[in-house]
Amino acid sequence: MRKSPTVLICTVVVVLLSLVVPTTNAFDYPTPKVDVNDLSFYQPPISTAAYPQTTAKRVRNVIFCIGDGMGLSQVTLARLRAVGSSGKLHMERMPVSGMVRTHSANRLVTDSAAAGTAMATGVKTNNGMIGQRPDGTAYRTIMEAAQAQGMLTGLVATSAITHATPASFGAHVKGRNMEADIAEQLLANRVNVLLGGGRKFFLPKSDPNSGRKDERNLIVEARDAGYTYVETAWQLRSVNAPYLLGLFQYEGLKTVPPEPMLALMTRKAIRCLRGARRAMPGRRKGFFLMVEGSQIDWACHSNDADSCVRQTLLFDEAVKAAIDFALADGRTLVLVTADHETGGLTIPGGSLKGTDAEVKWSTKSHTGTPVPIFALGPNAERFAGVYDNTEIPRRLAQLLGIRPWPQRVDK
Amino acid sequence: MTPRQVVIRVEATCSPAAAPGERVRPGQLVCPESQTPAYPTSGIVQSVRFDPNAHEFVIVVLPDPIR
Repeated sequence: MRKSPTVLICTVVVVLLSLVVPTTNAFDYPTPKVDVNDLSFYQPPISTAAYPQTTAKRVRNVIFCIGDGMGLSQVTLARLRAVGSSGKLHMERMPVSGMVRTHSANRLVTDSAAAGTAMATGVKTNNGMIGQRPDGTAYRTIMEAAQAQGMLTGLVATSAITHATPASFGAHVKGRNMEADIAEQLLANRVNVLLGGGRKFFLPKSDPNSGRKDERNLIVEARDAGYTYVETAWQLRSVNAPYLLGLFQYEGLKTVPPEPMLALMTRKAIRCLRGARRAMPGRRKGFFLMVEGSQIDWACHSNDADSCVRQTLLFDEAVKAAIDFALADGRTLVLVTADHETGGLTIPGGSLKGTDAEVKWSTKSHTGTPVPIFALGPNAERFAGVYDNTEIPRRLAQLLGIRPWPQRVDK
Repeated sequence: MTPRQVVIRVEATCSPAAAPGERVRPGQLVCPESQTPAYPTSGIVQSVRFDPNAHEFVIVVLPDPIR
């Protein structure tokens, strides 16, 4: 059919306008369609008293919570907005606290790959590298070592599950952007529970949403290998499986319904790991679960204080889920820390009420300041003090009876 | 017609110094604290966007018209 001259002229005008009009705004953080100032989802603590110390001495389970980019100012700002200057977040009620240094092997200011590798393997590496020393030697992660001891394992994140932090616990690659390889390694490592985003790296390249360069369909492969696969919150709520793969977005999560929130994913991961431990003969040694609040970092890269508060509180809800389980279980160690600080956030003023806290940012990138660590559960006191991030897995290895540490991966 | 935009991606561990609306020159470092990369052309920074999934800053420069 022939087009009229008017249609043709309009088409040309639209094409020309698309060349002239900018397609992006300055620092246009991809804000989800949610009121970031609506913090009604957050259930603040009813008390500021410290959670009780555990009397048990033996650690059976470890829940390692990492707030990506969460420095002391991010915790403070979230507290001020949510509960005021006199209140406490759930993580602040944990009975033991300390400070962690974060530099990488080649930079004073680390990235999540090098920091994750330090916290997972106990060795320093260069920014961008995952689970390897700078010379390319792979080192076993604390999660892999725990698995070798008979423990069950899980990774939960609001980024792609192949993003730098979760990857650091279950993969070994020279570059953090090798997410298709990371997806393969996470499944090959038989991590029991994998919940987050990043579906694109599990789909074959013939799929229009794929991030792979081959035709492997890792979702089909995972199902064939015994994984239960889910991609909605509804499916997640109704599942209880020893091997669970949940990929709720092609890339990072939006952190808004109908997706499952981080706290729900954490509770579900704990439930599946407990159930699997009971169901699998010989697997009586508990579990190791890493939970990451990935998007505190993303908000701070955009110097977006409101989103930073929201993401920190979403993370604190997940920490609460871990604490609730640990207090009931009595033999679960919960650690809460960060890989680095992002944004150089400071709070130069405001009232004691806290809701009007002033905010200043010194950078749009990471900083080299130490980050807080909070601990609860058996032997939590071992995580007090000021120390390097490589100390965290070393102390965990001691508690779990893993020797020697650190461990090279045998080829 | 507006010249074609130049898009530069840098790892987000580096903090781009130029803000939207600022003029940049060829060879000028995108992040002063690191040695690379440098702007390949002169022009005006149109936008600086954080790409969370790639963990990169995406800098769009509108080059000066060729005379």
